[in-house]
Formats: sequence, C-alpha cells, structure tokens
Amino acid sequence: MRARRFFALLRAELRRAVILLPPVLLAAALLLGAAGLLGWAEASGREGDAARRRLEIGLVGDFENDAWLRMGLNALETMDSSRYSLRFSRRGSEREALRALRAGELDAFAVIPEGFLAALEKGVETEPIRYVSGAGAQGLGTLLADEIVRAVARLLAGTENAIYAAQDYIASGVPGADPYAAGDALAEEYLSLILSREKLFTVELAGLSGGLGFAEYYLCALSLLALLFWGVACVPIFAGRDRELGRMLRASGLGAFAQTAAEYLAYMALMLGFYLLYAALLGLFGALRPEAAAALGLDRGALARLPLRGLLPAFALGAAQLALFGLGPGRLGALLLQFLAAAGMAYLSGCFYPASFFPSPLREIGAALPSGAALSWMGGPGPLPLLWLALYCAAALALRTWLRARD
Amino acid sequence: MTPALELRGIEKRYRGKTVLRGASMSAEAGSITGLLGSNGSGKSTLLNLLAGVTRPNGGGFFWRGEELFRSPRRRAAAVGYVPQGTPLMEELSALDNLRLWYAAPALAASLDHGALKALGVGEFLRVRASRLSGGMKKRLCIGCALAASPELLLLDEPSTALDLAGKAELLDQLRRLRDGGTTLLIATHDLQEIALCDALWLLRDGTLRPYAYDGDPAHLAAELG
Repeated sequence: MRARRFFALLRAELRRAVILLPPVLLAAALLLGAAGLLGWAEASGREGDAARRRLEIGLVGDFENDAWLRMGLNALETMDSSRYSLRFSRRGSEREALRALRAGELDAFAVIPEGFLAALEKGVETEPIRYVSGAGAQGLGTLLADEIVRAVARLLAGTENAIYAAQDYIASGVPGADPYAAGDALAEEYLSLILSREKLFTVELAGLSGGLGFAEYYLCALSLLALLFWGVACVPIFAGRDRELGRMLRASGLGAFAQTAAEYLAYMALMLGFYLLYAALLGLFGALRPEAAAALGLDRGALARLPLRGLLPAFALGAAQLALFGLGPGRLGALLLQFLAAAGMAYLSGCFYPASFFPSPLREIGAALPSGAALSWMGGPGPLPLLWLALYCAAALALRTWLRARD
Repeated sequence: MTPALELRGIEKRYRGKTVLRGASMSAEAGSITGLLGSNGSGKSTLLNLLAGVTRPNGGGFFWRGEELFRSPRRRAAAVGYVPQGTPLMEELSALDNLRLWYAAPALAASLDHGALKALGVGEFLRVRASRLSGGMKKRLCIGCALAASPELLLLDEPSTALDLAGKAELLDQLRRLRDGGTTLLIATHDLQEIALCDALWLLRDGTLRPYAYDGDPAHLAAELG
C-alpha cells in the first residue's frame, strides 16, 4: 500500500512537473544565458585588473649563485609598477610550486634547470627555463616573456658597454695588444653564448581546478551555472506548496521521508533531463562547428564530454535546491533564496572567474560550498570532492525531510 | 453501548506551550461529532494527532477498543483525514489527483458505484483542480480521504470559504456518509455544521467537555470565550 502510494506520488510529481516544464525550461535558458553573459563581462573586466596587480612568481632550481640571473630578477622586480609589479619567491621543489600555483598563492613559477647559466657561459646546450602558469593567468606568459626579453636586452647593452670599455682600456694602456681584435673576440664570444639560444625559456600551462585549460575550465563553470540556476527556474514547480497535502499523505501512512524521496526523484529526473539536453546541444555544436570549438582551444569531443562530469554533482546540488525550496517563505521567498544561493555559490566557487583571484579566506569558503566541491569534481574527479558531495546531498535531504515533518 | 471512538487523557505541548492537557472524549459509531472551540484552542492539533500527522506527549486513542497511537498502519487504514484548505495538486486534473490515492480498479469501482459516485466527483473528473469551485474541491478532497474506506473520517472546518450552494452540497454529502455508517469528527465553528452534529464537545483550556447547543449563538460565543 505504502509502496503503491509512493510510486503514485512520484508519478503525480512528474506529471505536475511536466505540465509546468515549458515555462520552466524557458526561464532556465534565459537565466543561463544572462548568467553566462554577466560572467563573461565580469571576467573580461577582471582581466584588466589582473594586469595591474602584484604578480607572485615562484622560482625553482639552481639560481642562488648566478649573479646575472639575480640581476635580471632584480631588474624585473624594480621595473615600472604603474601597470603591475612582480615579486619572486624561492620554492623548494617543482611539486611544491605547483601546489602553491593551484592554491592560488602563486600566479606562475619558473623552473631553472641545474647549472643553467654555467652551461650558458660555456656555450653548452642546456634545458630551457620552464615557465609554468595557471590557465587563468594565460596572458602572463606573454607578459613575462616580454619582460625577460627587455631584461636580456638591458643586459646585452650593459655587456656591450663593458666590451667597449675594455676595448678602450686596452687601446689606451696595454702594450702590444690589438684592442679591436680583442673587442671583436669578446663580442663574438658573448653573442655566441647568448644569442645563439633559440629557446631560453618555454611556457607551460599547469591549468586550473585539477589541470583544466582555460576554455575547459569555463565550459565546466558554465555547466555548473546551468545546474545552479535550474533551482531558480524550478521555483514554480517545487516552492510554496500546500502543506495540507503533505499532512494528508502522512495521515495515509506516507511519511515525510518517503514524500521527500518521491519529490527528490521527480526533481532529479527533471534536472538531469534538462542537463542532458544542455550537454547534447553543446555536443551538437561541437560536432557541427569544430572550428569554433578549436578557436576556443577545445577539441571537438570536449564540448560533449566535459559537461557530463556535472552529472554526479547534480545530485548534491539538486538536493540542496530542494532543501532551499522548503526554507523560502512562499514562492517569492524561495525565488529570492534560490537566486541568491545560485549567484553567491557561482561567484565564490569560481564560475565567473577563477577562485585563485580571491583572497585566501574567500577561496576557502568557495571551495567548501557544494558548488566548490562540484567544480573540483568536474576539474578532476577524486574521493575528496565526492565525499563532500555525498555529505551535502545527505544533509540537504535530511533538512528537507525535517522541514516536511514540521509542516 | 460502548463508544466506537475514545480519547483518553491526551497531552500535547507545542513550542513550549501546553495545547492539550488530558483531553478525553468519546463518539458513537455512525454519528457526526462536532469539536467546538475558539481559534487557537487546539482543534486542528487534536485532529492532527488522531490522523498521525504529529505525535502526542501522552494519552490514548482507541478505535473500537484498539489503541491506535501505537499502531500507525492500523490507524492509516481506519482513519481518513481532510485537513483545512485544499490538499490537492492544483495543476493536475481531478482524475490525476484521485490516482494518487486510489489503485486503478478501486478508482473505477468507486466512480461506478462507490463513495466517489455518491460525492458526484464524476462530473468534473477531467477538469484541472485549480479550475474547480470551492465545493467541488472539498468534495474531491473528501473523495481522496475515503480511498482506503476509513471507518472514521476527520474533517477540519470543512465548509470554510464555501458559498451557500457549496456548503449545502457539502453538508448533504456529510449526512450521506454518516447514513452509510462512517463516523465523522468535525472541527468547526460553523452554525450549519453544528446543527448537523449528533453530539458536540467543547475544547477549552486544553480539555474537552460535552456541550449541548441550545440554538442561541450568543450562548455558544460566551462558552467559547
């Protein structure tokens, strides 16, 4: 009897939701579009800000005894700071630097190979300096390359001055020496040491949130936005419901937990249907316009593949949204609550621009939110985000059940 | 004669306030019993307890001698409950709302010759619940509550917000249910519903006592406080 009533309630919930679905889908599409535009505008605005702020660059490797390199770094640190400033810090190992980069403590780091300058001086080929940046700081690669080239140019000019000074000294005072031949020899040796190096450094992207590239990261963020704003769109279906039906169902033996379970299953069926439709549309776009995906730096399959990583987090976010429906006083209250929760979580968890731009406390809050765990999972599935998502799902369903039992 | 319904010493505290303090009453089978009381006196709380929506802090609820507070399954089968308001899914048709409560064969049978036929629900089966009149909605709610063929039907202010025609229609249906052998317990302060009742109990200061209505609303108002 109870099982029959449970499935009857699930069927009724689904029927009700399907009746209200067309306006809900339209609202979801509008919200997602608006949020995407806002996020894009916000991220574009922030790129300019980022170029003016202090950039933390880590250094890994053998550089302590290289006077020239230290001189170059000093030149970089003391250069014109009206646009931005650089600060270098030593890191013990590449792994430590990578961890600091992912935690947002560094904007980038450079790995200086063992004996780099010594090899350079001797004219021996060596590993290039590797410059590793988060994808969100992609512009920094060009920025830093430019500055290094300037520093090298300054060093070159200084060295040339020294060569000419030596030449003058020899001409004025060293008997029997050919100052011009000595100057030419010095310049030739210096040029062969420095300018013959085609690749003094390379730029690598360590990625954001578990190693995603810039475009991949924002594709995941957009998918998370789709899930978050689904709760706002569903307010007409699941918020402000008559408590009396719940009481009558409880009187018939269908308790608060069973009611919540039926409601949750109906909600998830709708949410996953919507989300799969969204993922299919993206996949179709990638298949029909591979050049557009390539222009974003995505391979054709990424547009279909990456959004699917949001399927599992959807269960936790859906449960959280269902709990919020119960907390909002009436439909208007629920609408406000859902909107504030969706927008706040999207902002703090890095949907609009990477969380590494935030100060440390905000970053920690963002990462602890369900949306933070969701983005972390989408960036690179692992046990920790999975555990967080499972805990959030259970807690949200327990809250919804408790609210139903109080009605 | 042993009463079919007995409440013994029911206690209920809610948010630090004692709403029911040892409330006791009884009712005969196949009768309509009215539960009177001012707003906030605890009538709805008492019905919620009997329906199993909330739990009491003490006391017993006996139906034909069987304690039902300790037997949720038996209570769900024996007791039907129509809360105040309209516990319907407004976006669905009357038929879809009934499907939530009835298995398909039982629904067909009830519409053909059972309680739903008597309630006249067949007239508006395909109509969306949000478009039904107040009277139709109330008949539909009662129809839903009768799905398990309960022997005891609890109704919380059933004619609230109904127009005159709707109210007359509803009272007629309640009378028919009683005549069919169903025991009804109605929380009310509506004079027409009071007139329909075979017995009245007055709930005041958390306790119940029998009340004989003499037809003078002023006396009733004075009793209700």
